[in-house]
Amino acid sequence: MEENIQQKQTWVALRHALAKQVHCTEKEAAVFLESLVHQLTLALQDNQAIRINSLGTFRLQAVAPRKSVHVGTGEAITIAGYNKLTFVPESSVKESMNNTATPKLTPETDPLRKLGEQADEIIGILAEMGQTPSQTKQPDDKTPETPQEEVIEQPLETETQKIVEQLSETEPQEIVEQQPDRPIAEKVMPPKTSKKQEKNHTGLIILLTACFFILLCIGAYFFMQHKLVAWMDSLREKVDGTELVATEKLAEDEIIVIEKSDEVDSTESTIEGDSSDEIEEIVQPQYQSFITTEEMHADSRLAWMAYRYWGKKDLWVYIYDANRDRISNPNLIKVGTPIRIPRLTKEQQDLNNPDTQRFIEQIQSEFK
Amino acid sequence: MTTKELIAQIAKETGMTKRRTEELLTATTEVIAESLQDGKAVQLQNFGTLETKQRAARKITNPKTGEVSMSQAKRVIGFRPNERLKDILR
Repeated sequence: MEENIQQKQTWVALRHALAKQVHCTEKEAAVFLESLVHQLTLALQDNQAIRINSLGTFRLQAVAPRKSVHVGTGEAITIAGYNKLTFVPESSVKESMNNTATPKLTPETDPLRKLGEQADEIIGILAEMGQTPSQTKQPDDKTPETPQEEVIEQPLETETQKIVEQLSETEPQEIVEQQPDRPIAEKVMPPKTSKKQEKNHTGLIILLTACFFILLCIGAYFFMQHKLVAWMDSLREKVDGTELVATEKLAEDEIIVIEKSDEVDSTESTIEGDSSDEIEEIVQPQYQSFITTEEMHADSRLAWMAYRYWGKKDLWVYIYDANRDRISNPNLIKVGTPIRIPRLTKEQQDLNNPDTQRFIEQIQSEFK
Repeated sequence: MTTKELIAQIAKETGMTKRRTEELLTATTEVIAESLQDGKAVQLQNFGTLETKQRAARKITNPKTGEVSMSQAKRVIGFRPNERLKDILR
């Protein structure tokens, strides 16, 4: 009963399926199948077992002759031996038979497969008509794909719509998430600007400090100028004092010589008698000692010398008077002439003293 | 006869290349196996029919231990040769 119910893969269907599987013509498939059966038969006739990979082994099994009894007459008969053809499937095929985990769809349950089979039939018909399968392959390949595309496009559209919706939902979240990032970026930025500002500040500070020090130095210079001048003057005076000590000895020796000469002159004047009376009336100053002896320079002036020693320019006449032997004209003094500075008394230095005034007028009147 | 020898014989008979013959034989076995898995019998003209049979569950006894157990129901592959082939091989 089961055999009658069981569907059969007929020879034509097998040929058709083979042609579809290998992409060949049904004619070629038929030639191959006929050759296969012929070779199997020949091999079995030679009593050879035939092993086909991933299918099984065909083998002849000899059945020995056996004795039996005729049922109708009761006679003993011998049944002749014969060769029984058996098929032993490979284990992989056996397992695939009982592998119910992945039941395969039949053409009735798989519409796409049915359409594919129909397309293959069309290909076979066209191939029999003389067209190459490559030419007919393109439209036939499309025909089974069109229903697939129609079936697949809808979920794709729905999936894309879902994705778009998800993106539209997620975008505002990203924007919201990005917004707080911006202030962070802004917070991060200020340190960079502050570094620049710090550099500018340091530059300004350096400039200001430099200006401050310059101004401080200028102020200190002006503040200390008078003190420095005074200090320099004191130094000069000290230096001059040391020179004076050295020169005073020379001056004293000269004075001694002069005094001796004065004594000689005085003796001579006493010999001459009354001619020096008028001079005594003019009050000739007497120089007891000398402060120092200076050498006359190009820019030296007797008035400035008097100002330096006594603070009064008009007292130059005493210097001239003390150096009459060396100076013929106080306005024309040779450079390098040694000038003796006399030590004046307080009365001589007093310009209000009538004797001093008279003496100054006398000298000045000589060279006007 | 091995598969390789069978391919060589078919190629020699049909004039096909061995590679092409191998492709066709492999495809044939695949088609037969798929058909059997689908529960369909495969009829080979002038040779026979490969078919599947449902084997019911039955009691089996381990001869060594004498333990009795139940074997699961399963489908088995059987081959029924063509009468013509039977006569040829007889």
